[in-house]
Amino acid sequence: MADAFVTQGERETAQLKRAAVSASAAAVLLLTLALMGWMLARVAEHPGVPREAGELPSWFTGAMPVPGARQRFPASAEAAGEAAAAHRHEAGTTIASEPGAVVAQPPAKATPAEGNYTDFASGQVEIALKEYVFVPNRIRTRPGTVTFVLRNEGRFAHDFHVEGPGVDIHAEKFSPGRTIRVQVTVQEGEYKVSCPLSNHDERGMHATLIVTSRLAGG
Amino acid sequence: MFKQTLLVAVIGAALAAVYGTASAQNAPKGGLSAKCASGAPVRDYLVTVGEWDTVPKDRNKKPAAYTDRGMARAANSKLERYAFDPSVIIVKRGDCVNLQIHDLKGDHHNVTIEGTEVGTEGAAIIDDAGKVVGKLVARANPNPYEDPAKLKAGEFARGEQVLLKFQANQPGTYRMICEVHTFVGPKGELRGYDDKGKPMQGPMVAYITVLP
Ligand SMILES: [Cu+2]
Ligand SMILES: [Cu+2]
Repeated sequence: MADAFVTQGERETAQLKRAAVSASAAAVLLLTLALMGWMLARVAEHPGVPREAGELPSWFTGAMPVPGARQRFPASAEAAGEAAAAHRHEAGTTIASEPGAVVAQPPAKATPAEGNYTDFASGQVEIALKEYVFVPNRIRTRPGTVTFVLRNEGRFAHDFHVEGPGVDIHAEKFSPGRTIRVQVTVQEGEYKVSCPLSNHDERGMHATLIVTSRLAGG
Repeated sequence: MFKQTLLVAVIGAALAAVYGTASAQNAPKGGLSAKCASGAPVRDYLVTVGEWDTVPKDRNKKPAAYTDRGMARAANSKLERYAFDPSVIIVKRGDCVNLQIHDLKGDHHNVTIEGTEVGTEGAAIIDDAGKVVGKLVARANPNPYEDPAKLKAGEFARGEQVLLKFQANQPGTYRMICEVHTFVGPKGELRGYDDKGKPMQGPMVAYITVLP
């Protein structure tokens, strides 16, 4: 009897030990996971936009313009255009102008060849806002109620203003990373889209919106 | 035994993941918010907008037309830069920060804080006593003898005082810039401008550090 009792006690002790070992393992695991969760939360709340170091654009270096620099412009614009075209092809969208292409030449020069418009026949116009550009910046859509889906992909707050036949609408300023929707009823004609904040318009934050019934069918 | 341990671990992992995601999502969106919660401790700062400038001289003490990089410069030999003073502001998380910005130099400026909705658009114009006397919307320049004749939303003119209010929700360092006097590169590089309005020299920037 006594033997049997002792054996059972030992067995229980051994079981307890095993339970203690696995419990401590589980505790360590839990602690690690909790820590990871906490760290993830910390990382997620870190504000601001990453500022990776990179090659400065030519207009940004502060070097005095040297004779001949002007001739380099078309070449670099072409290269940017090619890159943009490649990107466009990949994405399968019809974005008329990429930020790279716009940055490569001063906004004043970006006035351009006809017919370079992005069509939004469905009446939902998607525009990305950056410093200091709308992408795309030549837009066509059909008459009626149009929904603008505006993504702020920049680093600073932006706003939205449409002006044209019968329309003068301001949105509310919205912060980077946010997307807002603005519904506007438009008729045939040409509208000016711009960012009314400070000097954003002068720096190139504007777009042309053409409303044409030719797009109504498609 | 192994199955039980596994079960505990899986449940633990699920709990930790849920907690992590929840706390990440509960963190207030946008590092700084334009409105303060009631009861938040208020911190007032007086910030002046001034100008730094210099005219480089050559060996004969004659003004030399050099850029900040020592390169020959076409016309104006003056180097200039606008600045906020103080340009580093340190607050604690949860503080309600009032920046009273006084434009002493420069015909007009605006202020925006990177990565946030905080900016001077619609901000209050105040007088010396702190009384609100107007709002920063698109309007005529109150200084009729200065350019530009019209100010855009968020721009304020020489002599005006502006109250920029925000709550510091997330620790970090934020860049506050004047977009009139700063160029922003595609990767967030900041530059000032030269006498012809080309990007160059120092930007008009201040830093707001929020301690945890
Ligand atoms: Cu803008
Ligand atoms: Cu300024």
